[in-house]
Amino acid sequence: MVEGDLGRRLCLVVGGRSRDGLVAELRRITVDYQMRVVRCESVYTATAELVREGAQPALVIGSLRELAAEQGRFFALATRNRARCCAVLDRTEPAKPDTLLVAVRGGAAVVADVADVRSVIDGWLGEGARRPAGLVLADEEYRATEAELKALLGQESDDQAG
Amino acid sequence: MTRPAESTSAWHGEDRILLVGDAGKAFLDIDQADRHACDVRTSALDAIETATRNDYTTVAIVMDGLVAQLRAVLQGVRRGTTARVILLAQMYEEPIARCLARESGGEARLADGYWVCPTTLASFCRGIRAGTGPGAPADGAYAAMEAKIRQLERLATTDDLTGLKNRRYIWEFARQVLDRARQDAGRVTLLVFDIDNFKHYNDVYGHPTGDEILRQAALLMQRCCRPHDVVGRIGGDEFAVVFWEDPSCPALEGRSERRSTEAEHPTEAISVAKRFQNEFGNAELDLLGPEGHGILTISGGLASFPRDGATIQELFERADGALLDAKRSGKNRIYLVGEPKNNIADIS
Repeated sequence: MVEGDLGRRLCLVVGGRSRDGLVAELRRITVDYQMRVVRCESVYTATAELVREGAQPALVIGSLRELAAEQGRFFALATRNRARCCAVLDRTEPAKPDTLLVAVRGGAAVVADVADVRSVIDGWLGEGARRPAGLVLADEEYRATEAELKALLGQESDDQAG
Repeated sequence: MTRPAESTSAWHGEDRILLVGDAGKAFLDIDQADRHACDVRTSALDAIETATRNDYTTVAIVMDGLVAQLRAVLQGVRRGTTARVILLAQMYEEPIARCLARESGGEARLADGYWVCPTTLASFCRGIRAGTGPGAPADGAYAAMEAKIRQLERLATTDDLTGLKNRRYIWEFARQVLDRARQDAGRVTLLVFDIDNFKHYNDVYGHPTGDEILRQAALLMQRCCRPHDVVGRIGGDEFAVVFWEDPSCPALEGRSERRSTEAEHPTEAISVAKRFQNEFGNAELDLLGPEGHGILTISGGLASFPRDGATIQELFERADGALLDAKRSGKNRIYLVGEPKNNIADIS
């Protein structure tokens, strides 16, 4: 049973001119959920939307490249505004390791396949009011995720490097 | 130059202004931002957050540095606030700013006006608050003074007869666009043309008719050009057009003039020039009487950066040279710079 007033929860789908149809796919997925879905052309309109919504917890979904605008600044901004980010990896263009790290450090859920967005939405809706939406990962979860990511990318973790 | 810290001013007057981007590039006295009740945000994301949360009357955006994100940023600002949106444009960005501040195709315009920079914050704020800024009612002594200054600026850069930009503007504009093209590996193409036998029309039909032909040429060329290209009258019957890339215009993707493409010729410029030749040739001028249809022709020269010249001086010299060759070869043609002479009519 999901806690909270689902009808009032906000989902922002970000992407203006998605060449691979990501935005259309995201809209097909999000329509299955009981939440208000707003399409934003870019992170800039998403920012305005988030702030206008005030205290409303929100989920922002878009391609990693789109959400990582301004060196990942958007992730911090989303957290400040009680929003969680879900970044979908680009199918055609490999993500830069730095961008991935910025996303993970910024608390975003990064998924390789657009179908995996469902589990992120389920998890987010399931969180309900149990914990603040801005806190995406517990500290140990976050460290594990980053370590796994670095291992995947063939980079040393900060602990090993030190 | 000192820059103000990113803080929200404690000023609670009627007008609050938010400056977005590298404001030091737009204002010579940016260290006076606090004094003028202006807040500054270098990040566009932070700016939209701040503008949406607070009650600003004006959001002024420095275009320099935003390039491809400009439209997205403007959409975000529009979504978040009802504040007046003013673009702070460098001279070479003025055509883009003008497009963005102009309503088109039923879509809401993305900006309410623009200022050409650098300027002073004092002058900008006075203009905005007194009402000489775009979209606000004019009022008071400051308004009159600012309006006068803007009128003088216009007179200094505009050709009175045709309303086109004048030679001074075209040279400075082309210089700035070339600087940018050097950094971005872009292509800039210069077309210089004049009206064939113009002296004949002036002598036979009188100067009013000559003036009308010049106005007609100016109007048609502006219609044929893309909105961000700049057309100027640089001498008696001599015109120049600067073709360049508008990085903020997604509609032009795939049709760009970038020199990294394999296209040897500046295709956009050639196509505009051909269209103009055709339309000018078919223009009907009642003042010329029965023979007024289909007799007007032009000759011109096209030179491109970086292939034909590295400076604006070189481009003008080469384009002028090609124009002279076109005249000597029988007129009514536009030559590309280079050997052998290449009439654009022969390029498909």
